[in-house]
Amino acid sequence: MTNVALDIALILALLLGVTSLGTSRIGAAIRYFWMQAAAVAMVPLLIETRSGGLSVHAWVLFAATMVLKVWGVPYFLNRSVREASVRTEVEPLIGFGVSLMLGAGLVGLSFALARQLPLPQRPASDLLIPVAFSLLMIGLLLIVSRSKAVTQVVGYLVMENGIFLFGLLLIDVFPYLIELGVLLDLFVAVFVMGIVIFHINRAFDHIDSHQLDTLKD
Amino acid sequence: MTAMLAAMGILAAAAGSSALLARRRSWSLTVSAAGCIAAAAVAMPAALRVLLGGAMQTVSWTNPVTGSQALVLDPLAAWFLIPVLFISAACSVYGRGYLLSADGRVGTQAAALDVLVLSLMTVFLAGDALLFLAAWEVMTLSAFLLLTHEHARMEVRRAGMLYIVLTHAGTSCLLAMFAGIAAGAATLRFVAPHLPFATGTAAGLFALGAIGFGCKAGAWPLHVWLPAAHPVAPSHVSALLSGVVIKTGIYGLLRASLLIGPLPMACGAALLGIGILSALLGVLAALAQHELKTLLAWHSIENIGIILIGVGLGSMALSAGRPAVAAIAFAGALLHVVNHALFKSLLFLSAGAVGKACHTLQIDRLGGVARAMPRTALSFVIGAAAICGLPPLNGFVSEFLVYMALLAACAAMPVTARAEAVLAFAALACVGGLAVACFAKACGAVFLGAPRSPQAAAAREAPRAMLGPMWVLALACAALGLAGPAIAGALERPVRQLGGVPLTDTSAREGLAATAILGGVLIAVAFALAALRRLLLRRQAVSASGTWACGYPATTPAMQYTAASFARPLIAVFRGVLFLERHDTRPAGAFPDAVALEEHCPDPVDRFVLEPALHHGGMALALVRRAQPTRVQSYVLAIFAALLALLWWRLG
Repeated sequence: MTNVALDIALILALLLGVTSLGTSRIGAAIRYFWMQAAAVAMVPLLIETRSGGLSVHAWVLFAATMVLKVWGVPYFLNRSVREASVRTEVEPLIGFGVSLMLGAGLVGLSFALARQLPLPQRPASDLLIPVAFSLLMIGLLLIVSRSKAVTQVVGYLVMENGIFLFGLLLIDVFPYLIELGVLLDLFVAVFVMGIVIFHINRAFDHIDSHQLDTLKD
Repeated sequence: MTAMLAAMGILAAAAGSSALLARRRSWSLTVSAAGCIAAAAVAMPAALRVLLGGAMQTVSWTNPVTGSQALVLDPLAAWFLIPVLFISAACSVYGRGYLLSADGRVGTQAAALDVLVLSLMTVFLAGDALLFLAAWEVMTLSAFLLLTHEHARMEVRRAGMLYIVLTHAGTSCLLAMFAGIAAGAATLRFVAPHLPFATGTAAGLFALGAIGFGCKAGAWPLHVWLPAAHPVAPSHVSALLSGVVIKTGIYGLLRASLLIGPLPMACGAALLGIGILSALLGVLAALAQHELKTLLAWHSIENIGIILIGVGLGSMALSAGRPAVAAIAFAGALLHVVNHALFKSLLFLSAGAVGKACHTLQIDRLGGVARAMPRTALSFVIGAAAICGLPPLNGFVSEFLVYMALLAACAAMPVTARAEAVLAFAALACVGGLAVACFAKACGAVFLGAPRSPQAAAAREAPRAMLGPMWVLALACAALGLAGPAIAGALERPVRQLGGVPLTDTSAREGLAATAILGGVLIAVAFALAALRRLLLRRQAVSASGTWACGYPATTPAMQYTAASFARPLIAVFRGVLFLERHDTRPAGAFPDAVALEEHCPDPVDRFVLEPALHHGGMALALVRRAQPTRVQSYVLAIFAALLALLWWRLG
């Protein structure tokens, strides 16, 4: 039963990741991200339920992820979107259709790679590693293919979700250490990016990251 | 150790709160200085206790990622900690006065100063390679922040760049060295016993350490950043850099040679050779400088040379199985570390006060400053006498010990070592003479005569906040000059830790006692002469007037000897090694109008090695630069592709 719930949460996270590749509205991309974060936050709880009791550790992780990623980060992002008044990703470097295709290809690649990955112990679910890989790659694809800074931040966050899933592999070996590091890292990064986006917007009246090209050298 | 941890806590708190108070300039600087003083007050007694016979103290902990780590307070660390704490406290007080009298932001300065002192403490206390390197890096970066205070100026940015690139290049050597040592010892801890290295490996590791630590210490030819960075930093930062930060290089070298274990004779000999080169070339270049702080920076290179002569000789003596010689040599080197820290920071602080009052440190635009700033002049002269190694001041005591070690080496070492010791002896004597000439030039041209520019004529005495720390340092110089026997007691344990025999078994003890007696006699004679002068002049009116100019009434300041012309005869002798650059407009025609002569002494390593290398390297890298993508996205794509390829290669 819990096995199925775990797989459902992982698949949900994956699907939301792929969906965010196909949307042009930034608000929607942020929404997909926090829904995905909620699904990812369930994973440590489900893993532990599967192997017996629930530890404080898992609850802390769950609560921290919910507060930071499901509430805090989207709040900041939505605020910067409002302040910068951008609604849509107008001219992506790679079109939405092509992005979706590439995303599907990357998901396939992730499953192929995950099969090759030698692991010290069998993960809680066979889907854990492929989904983690996929989220990493989808996040990178978002960063590479979009031109608005906010969408790139969303890409970064999706990648971070993937890293979080990877960290869960080590849940027994390094309790707290890695996960807390990841959460902190993420919070700071979004904080800084929020400020940067705001300032780019203030200085140039838009948040198009093309303008950073002039910073070359 | 509680005291050390408390001091570090105080410094961290002071750094944080002075950064938070950045908007209120005076508060921020006061908190920063108070932190330095409190840390010194708390930690110095503890360090002194360990130095004078207290037990070695250790705090250790383990964590799963980095393994066993520790903070260790042993005699060697204590010896370096004491001057560091003392001088940073003095410099922080001076810096408060110095920065408050100018405009601009001070938050970074205030916080970075505390961070620098904290990281210096950690460097000396670190009991494992990881902590040492981390603290080393924090030290480098906080010193960078401090020295680029006036970063709006081009030459400040260039100096900062040189500093950070050279010290990072050095740090990469240190990483390699510590990795090599850790591989041999199977631990990153500094104290763990291990099998002795093979001779070749030991020499290789030592060479890496000498390059890495030599960059920081400013040993020739890795000294390039010193003459660039010291003049452009705020004066109290120059004092800290030159007095304290470069000494971490010496500390590292000593610590590394303890870790590597028995070294071949060639290592010590090479170090001695570098010492001779640094001392000679440093003082010669100093002689040819026209800017007061650049001149002082070159003297730092000279003094690092003297310290390296001591360290190199000590290491040679240990390899040759002469621990008695090693004891005197290490004692001289260690004492010179402290002495140079004291008098060099005194000199930089005094020079800073002159610079603040006259708005220039070009020696040929100063002159007659002693009349307006008698107290600053007196403290500069005390520092100058100390750095020249004149009794009864502290520089004399340590240089005397180095001479004694060289003499002992001439008597007791194998023949080849003897030859080098004789060479070092001659070089040291030459350096001493040239240093006196150089400071006669600096003191004479800056403080005596008539002002050469309106700014120099308008000089005012420095405020008390800046004079106070200068007096404290001057007093310390004088006190150490007279405290020979007490110093021998304090040197006992660090010297033993480095492998020497107890100093009581060597001639150093009598030597130090002799310096104290000589100093006392000199001071008594000086007082007696002053009393005699007063007695003789009791009944007569004394009037002050201008120098007699052979009856010529229309003298101008331009007719004085300039600093350059004063040094000219000596410079002419050493033209061969100085690479002088001369630009002149000679008189031409029957009615010559504009005539000019300029002579510069560029740093030969900078001019003939570094600049061409950077220039050609830049040309070569222009091709790479052209290929640089412009979009942020392309960078991420490149990383993405690289990661994928790597994964595929490992797993596919």
